[in-house]
Amino acid sequence: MAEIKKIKNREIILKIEEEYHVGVARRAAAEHARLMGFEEVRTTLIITAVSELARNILAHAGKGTVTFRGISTGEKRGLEIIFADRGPGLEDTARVFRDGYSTKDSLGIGLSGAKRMMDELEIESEPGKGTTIRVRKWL
Amino acid sequence: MAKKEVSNISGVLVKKEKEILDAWIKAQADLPAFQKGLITAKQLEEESSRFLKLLVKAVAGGNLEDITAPEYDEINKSLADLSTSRASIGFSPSETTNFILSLRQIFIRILQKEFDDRLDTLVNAGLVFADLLDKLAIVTFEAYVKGREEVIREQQKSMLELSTPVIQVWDEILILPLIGSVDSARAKQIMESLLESIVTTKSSMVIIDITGVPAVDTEVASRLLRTMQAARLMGAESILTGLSPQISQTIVHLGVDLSGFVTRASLRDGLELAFRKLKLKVTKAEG
Repeated sequence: MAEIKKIKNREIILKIEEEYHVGVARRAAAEHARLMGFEEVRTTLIITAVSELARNILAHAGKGTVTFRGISTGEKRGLEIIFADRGPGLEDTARVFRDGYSTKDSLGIGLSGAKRMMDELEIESEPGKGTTIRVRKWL
Repeated sequence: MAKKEVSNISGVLVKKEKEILDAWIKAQADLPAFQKGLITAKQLEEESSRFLKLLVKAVAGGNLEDITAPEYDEINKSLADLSTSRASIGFSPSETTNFILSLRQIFIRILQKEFDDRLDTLVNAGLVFADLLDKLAIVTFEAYVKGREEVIREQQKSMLELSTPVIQVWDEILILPLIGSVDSARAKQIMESLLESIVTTKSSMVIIDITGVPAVDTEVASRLLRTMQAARLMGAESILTGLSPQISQTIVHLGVDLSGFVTRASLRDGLELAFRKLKLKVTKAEG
C-alpha cells in the first residue's frame, strides 16, 4: 500500500467527555466530509460511524479524543478519523467485530457497522492501556 | 518582604479607603460595561463600596498573599456571586474581570503618593498588591465561567422541553416528530411522554418521524426500537417515517433490523397508511 501522508493544516482534535461532545464530533465530521468533497450518502455514513465510535469512547472509557485529518497517498485523497482513549482496552480485538457481541446493554453491532460504513478500520488495543481506532474513507 | 512593609501597605489601604473608592467608581464609570447601561450608577457604587470594605477587612491582619486563608472567605464568596450575576446580565468576561483590574492603577497611584521618597517600598508594595489583585481577578473569572455553564445547562433543559411534542393529529393517531440528536435524556423523555399520550388519547397508531434526526447510529436505533416495542405493548402500532435515502443506506450498513416495524419514506405516506389502517378515507368535499 502506498504511504499515507497528512494533508497540511487539515487536522483537528476534539475531546469526548460528555454526551453532547458526540454531537460536536458528528458536526465536525459532516463539515470535514463536505469540505473534502464527499457526497451526501457517504457523508451520512461517515457521520454515523463517527457517532458510533465516539459513543463507544463514552460508554467504555468515559473519555477520549477524536482526531480528524485529511490524508493523501499521492493518487487518492481521503479522510482519516482517529478515536483514542485510555480506557480498559480489549482482550480480543477480533471478537468485537462479531455482530451481536456486546458488553453493554446495546445492539452489539456498532463496531462492525462502523467498519462496513468506512473503507478501512484498524484497531489497536491493550488491556488496561486503552484503545485506538483508525477509520478511513477515500474520495 | 519585611513584615513592617506589609503592614504599611494594608495600613495605606485602610487609611485611604474613601479616596480609593471614589477614584475607583470614577474609573469604572468610564469602562464600556457601564456605558452600555448594564448596571446603574447606584449598583456600581454599592458593589464597589462593599467589595472595598471586605478587602480592607481581609488585609487588615497583614495577609496580602494567601487568598485561600479564612479572612478572604467572605471576599471570595462575594466576588463569585458578583461575577455570576454579571455573567447572567450580559457582562463579557473582560468586563467582569475589569471590576478588579481597574483597581490596580488607582491603588498604585495612591501608593506612589504615600511612598514617593522610598522607591524600594513603593516597588515592593506595588508588586504585592498587583499580585493580590491578579489572584482575585482569577476568582472572578472562574466564577464567571461557572455562571456561563449554568446558563448553558438551563438552555439545554429548555431545548429538551421544546423539542419533543407528541401531537394528536386525528382520533387514535399520534405523531412524534423528532428533531435533533436523540441523546439518553431525550430518549427517556420521548418514551415517557409518548406512552403517557397513548393512554390519555386512547391512540392505536403512532407515527414517529425522524426527518430531523441528523444521524441514526446503533444507539439511536436501539432507542427507537425500544420506544416502538413499548408502544406495541400498550396496544399502539408504530409507523417510522422520514427515512431519507442516506439514512436508509446507513441503517442497512449498520445492520439494524427494522423488519418487524412498518416504515415509510415520508410523514405523508405514514399518515395515509394510518388512515387506511383505521379505515378512514380523506375525500374532497362536494361543490
